[in-house]
Amino acid sequence: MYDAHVERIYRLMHRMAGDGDLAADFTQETFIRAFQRLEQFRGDASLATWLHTIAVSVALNGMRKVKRLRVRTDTMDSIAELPGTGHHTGLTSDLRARLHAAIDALSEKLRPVFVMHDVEGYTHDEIAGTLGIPVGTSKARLFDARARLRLALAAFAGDHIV
Amino acid sequence: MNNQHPDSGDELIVRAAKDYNAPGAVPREEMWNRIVEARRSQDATLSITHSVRRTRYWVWPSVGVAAAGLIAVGVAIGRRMEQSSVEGRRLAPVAVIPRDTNGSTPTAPDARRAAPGGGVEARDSGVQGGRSTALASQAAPDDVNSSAIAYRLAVLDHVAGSEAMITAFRASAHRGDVDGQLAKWSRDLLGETRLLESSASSDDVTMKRLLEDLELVLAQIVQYTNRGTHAPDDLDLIEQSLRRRAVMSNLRNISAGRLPSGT
Repeated sequence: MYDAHVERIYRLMHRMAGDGDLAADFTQETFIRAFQRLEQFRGDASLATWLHTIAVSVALNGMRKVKRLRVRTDTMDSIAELPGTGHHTGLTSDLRARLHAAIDALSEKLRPVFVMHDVEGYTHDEIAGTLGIPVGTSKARLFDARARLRLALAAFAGDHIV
Repeated sequence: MNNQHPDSGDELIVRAAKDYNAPGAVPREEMWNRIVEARRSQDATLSITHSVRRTRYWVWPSVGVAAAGLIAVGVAIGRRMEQSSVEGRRLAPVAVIPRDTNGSTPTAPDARRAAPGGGVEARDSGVQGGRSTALASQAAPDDVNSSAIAYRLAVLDHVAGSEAMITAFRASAHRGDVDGQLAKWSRDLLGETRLLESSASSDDVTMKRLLEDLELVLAQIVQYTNRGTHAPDDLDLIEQSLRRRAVMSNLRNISAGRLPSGT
């Protein structure tokens, strides 16, 4: 189980946490919990989906702890203050920096869907199974996440985005 | 794999998002070793853990509300027990000391063994110490039980807070933006750790060792935040301490009602 799934779980944890140590902690915790609850796995979903459900729960809880006493400086509002507004030189790096900050600022409901679908390439079926939501909800959240990101980047990228 | 294709406006976003928090090499072996270590300690789960978990289920909501006060209660009860132990020593002449088959008075270690559940531990030695220990442990077994439960609840709450702080600290330190809020948080936790360590109820060797490990790490974090230089070497030392004693795994094990590793 570990060999088959650790790579994908770790990748997702890293995308969610943005830090190698945290990603390793979350991955370890995921497998510890999975081994502990293996008897409870009923086979209703695939083992991969079940593992991902645990992983996303661990990551969201872990990130909540991280954020609890921290006020994020890279909120949507502050994105407009990043350097490079109106300049097309260095577009790629500026755009990426802004986009990454905007992804960080997405809500707890939207970010996992966007990261899983658009960054890691999971299907809506997989996301729906992992998050315990209908496929339609997953699609709606992705649409919403993209719209918010477009909005966050609109002032910077102009015609490139909207 | 994707079944919702982005339009032209989204394509740029999707392309630029591909390196969002891009992962490096997967530390398979390192993670596996820690998982095995945690599993080993999990297998060693004892009745003491189950009792803590049972207690957590019904008390946890109220514990959440009065989290900070709980630590004070645990420590206060511990201190009270210590005081009553001292008073017991003063009243020692009225105690009836059981004699062994040879008719001799048991020594302090013998008396300690006789105390139910480890009871209140005598801090002095010799015959007087044994006498007072027996008296204290016979006098208030209910107090000792409630003291132990309060202490454990206080530790559980403290452990959860410590885990959160260390997680937040690691994330902040790697980004190089450790702020004053974290510094204060770590100082407060260090103080609480020392209070819990010095509590008379801390007769649980496993828990005491975890608190000692935690104290070391918190002291390093406090030094790191106080110094303000944020040298990578100092951060490495903290990471080494965390890894060497499996502090994070042990904190999580305690939070989840499992025993720390290495017990």
